[in-house]
Amino acid sequence: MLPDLDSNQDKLNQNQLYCHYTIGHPFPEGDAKIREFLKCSKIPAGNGQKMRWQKVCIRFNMALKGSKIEPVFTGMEIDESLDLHIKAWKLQPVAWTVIGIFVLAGLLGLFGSGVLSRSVVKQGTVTIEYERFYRYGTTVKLTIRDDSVGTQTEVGFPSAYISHFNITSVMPEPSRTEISGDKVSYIFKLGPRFRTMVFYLEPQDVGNASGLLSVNDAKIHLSHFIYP
Amino acid sequence: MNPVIKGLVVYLFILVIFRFMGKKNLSETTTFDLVLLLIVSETTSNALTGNDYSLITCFLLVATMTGTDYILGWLKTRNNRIDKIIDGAPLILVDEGKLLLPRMSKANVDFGDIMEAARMTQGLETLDQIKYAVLEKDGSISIIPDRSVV
Repeated sequence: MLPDLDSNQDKLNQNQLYCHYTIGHPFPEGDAKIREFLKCSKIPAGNGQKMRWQKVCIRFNMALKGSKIEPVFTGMEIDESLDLHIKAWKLQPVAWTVIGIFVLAGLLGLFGSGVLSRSVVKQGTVTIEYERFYRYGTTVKLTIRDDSVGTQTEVGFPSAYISHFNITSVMPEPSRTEISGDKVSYIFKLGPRFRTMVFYLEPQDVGNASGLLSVNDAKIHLSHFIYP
Repeated sequence: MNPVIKGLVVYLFILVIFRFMGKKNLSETTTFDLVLLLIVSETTSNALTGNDYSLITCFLLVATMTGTDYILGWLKTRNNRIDKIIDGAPLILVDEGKLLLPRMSKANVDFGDIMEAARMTQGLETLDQIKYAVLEKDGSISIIPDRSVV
C-alpha cells in the first residue's frame, strides 16, 4: 500500500515545493527504489533526509520527462519548477516554427499583397486583376482592363458584393453611375489607348465577399476573404 | 471588430509572443530593443484603434486590457502553476561556482552575461566567487557570492 503523498506534503515544509511534482504521477508499485524512498521519506527527520526526498522526487519527475537537464540541490529556498522549464523549452521551437510559418505565409501573400493573393482573370477582351485576400480597412486595387473596340465600358457590381467595400476612388472618373435593380454600374468613356480602369476599395467588414462582376457582356466571379 | 474582442486578442497574442521570446531578451534592453518595443506598441495601438478615435473605444480598450491583466493577476495568486506558466520560474545557472551549461544554453545565457551580472551587482571578479547565479522571472540574473571566497 502506497502512502498518501498529499498528506505528507505539509510535513515537509520547504520541501513541498518539490513534492508537488509527484502528485498526479502515481508511483509504480513494483519499483523497489521508489518503495525504499517512500519508506524513508515518511517522517522527514534531519536535513539529509529532506534532501533525499527532494532528490528522488525530482529525479522521478525527470525520468518521466526524459530530459537531460540535471536537477540541482542547493540550500536556497527556490522553486525552480524544472518540469515547466523543460516543457517551455520543448514548446519554444514549436512556437517559433508556427510564428515563422505565419510570417512566411504573410510574405507569400496568404494575408494579402503577395503571390498567393494576386489573381488575374481573363474573359474575352476583359482582364481583371484582384487580390484574393484583403485586410480590413486597407485600401486595395481592383484593376479592370477592357480591350474591346467600343468606346464605352460598363462595369457593374452587385449590391451584395459592393456592400462589403467602400469605393474610395475610381480612376479614371466614370462618365456616369447608374443603379438598376440590385446592381451599381459605372460607365466609362475610354480612348483607344487608355483601356484600364482602377477601383480603390476599402473592405468594410470581415469574412467572405463574393459576387458576379459584369464588364459589358462578360460576367466574372470575384471572391475574396477579408481578414480582421 | 468589437473593441473588447480586439483588446483581448491583442493582449493574449502579445502575452504568448513575449513568453516565447525568452526571459533574457526581455531584461536586456539595448537601444535596438527599445526601438523594437516602440514599434510594437505603435503598430498595436494602430491596429487596436484604427480610425476609431471615440472616447468609448478608448475606455473599452483600457478597461479590457487592465481587466484581463487583473483577472490574470488574480488567477496567478490563486494558482501557483498558472503563475509559473504565465510569468515563468527562476532557473539556477551556477551551482557552487560551477556553470550549468545545458541550462544556460537553453535559457540563452552565456558566461559573459553571468560575469556581467556578478560585476554589476556584487563587484565579483571570478567565477569561483559566485556561489549561485539564478535567472529570475523578470530575466535579470541574481548572484549569490560565495562568502568563503570573497
